[in-house]
Amino acid sequence: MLRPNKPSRPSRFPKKQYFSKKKYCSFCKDRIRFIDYKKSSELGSYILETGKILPARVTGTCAYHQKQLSKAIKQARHMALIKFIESRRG
Amino acid sequence: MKREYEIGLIINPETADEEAEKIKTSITDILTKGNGSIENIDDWGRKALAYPIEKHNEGIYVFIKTLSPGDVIAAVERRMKLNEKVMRFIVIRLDDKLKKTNKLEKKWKRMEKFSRKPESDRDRQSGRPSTAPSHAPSVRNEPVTKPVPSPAPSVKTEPVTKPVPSETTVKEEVKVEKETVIKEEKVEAKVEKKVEVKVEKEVEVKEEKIEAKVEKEVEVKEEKIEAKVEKKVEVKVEKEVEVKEEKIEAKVEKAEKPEEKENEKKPVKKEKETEEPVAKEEKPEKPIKAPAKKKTVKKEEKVEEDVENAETK
Repeated sequence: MLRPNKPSRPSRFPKKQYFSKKKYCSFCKDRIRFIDYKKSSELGSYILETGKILPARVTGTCAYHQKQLSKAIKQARHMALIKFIESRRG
Repeated sequence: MKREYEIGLIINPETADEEAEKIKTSITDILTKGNGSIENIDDWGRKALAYPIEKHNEGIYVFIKTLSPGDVIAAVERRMKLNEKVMRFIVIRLDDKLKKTNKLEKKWKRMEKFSRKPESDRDRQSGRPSTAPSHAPSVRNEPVTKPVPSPAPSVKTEPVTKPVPSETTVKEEVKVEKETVIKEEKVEAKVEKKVEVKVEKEVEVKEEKIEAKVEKEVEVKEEKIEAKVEKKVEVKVEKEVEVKEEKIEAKVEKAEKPEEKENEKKPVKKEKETEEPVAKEEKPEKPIKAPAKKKTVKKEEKVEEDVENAETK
């Protein structure tokens, strides 16, 4: 039985409805225990083009893996596997 | 207390390969001397750096995994700091990253449960309706099939059906239907009655037939027979009543048992069934002896009494 939803109270400023897939931690999906800083290519998807670390609310990673990720990115930067800052002018 | 460490080095690219190997061996020597064991060595060779270090765009990468006490690694760090040819170095303890794995595994198990649950529920729900209809029609068919033969069979077939328990109906109903087809033809010729008719009506019809026979034959013999029979019949009737009561009791006990199991419809029919054979047994006896009127009058009363007894019992 599909019943048409009752039209909610008409509001003067209706909210916009955004549709998006539910985020999930990709590390938990792959059952990764710890993140290795040597695999710089995998870390690249969690970094902005400018070299900033993306927040967890954007990527959807869990707290445990976000902590490891930020540490691994910093270690990779130290070992010159990832740039600290990428200048836009080139 | 040994722990698992990983040591990473970036050696100056201007150094020769032989000197780079000397640096490696010097580190492994220190680890092995301090009761440490080397598990793995990764040589990446010369690789481009992400950003220039000491004005060099290349570097020789070396990674060493060890199980060793912490004192030895402190010595290694001191040695690497003093060495000018090592541009960068890093020491990581791998145990730290494996500490909270138990929490992770619990979390993953939870994820598996939630992902699997809806599938199992669907299987159960699909299984339920398949089992339910199998039981349902069997219960529905029994009351529908049974009443069809039960009114049809004539008086003769009923004693066959009585001892049969109610549950084993299907095979026996088939037998009863065959018997009824044969016997109905005989019965129709003889009786021309409906089975639903009660015992009192049957007796009334018999009385009319018997009266037609008896009035012709017996009028002559009445005077003689009445004197004899009045004495005999009273004795015989008492015996017959005792015998019939025993039979009725045995039949009623059988009829009452299925009452508990089955619906209310069937025992009602069997009470009728018990009444009818009593009337039948009377038939052969009547034409033999002349004073049938007296018997029938008495037997009607007795049959009523028997029925009352049967109902009470």
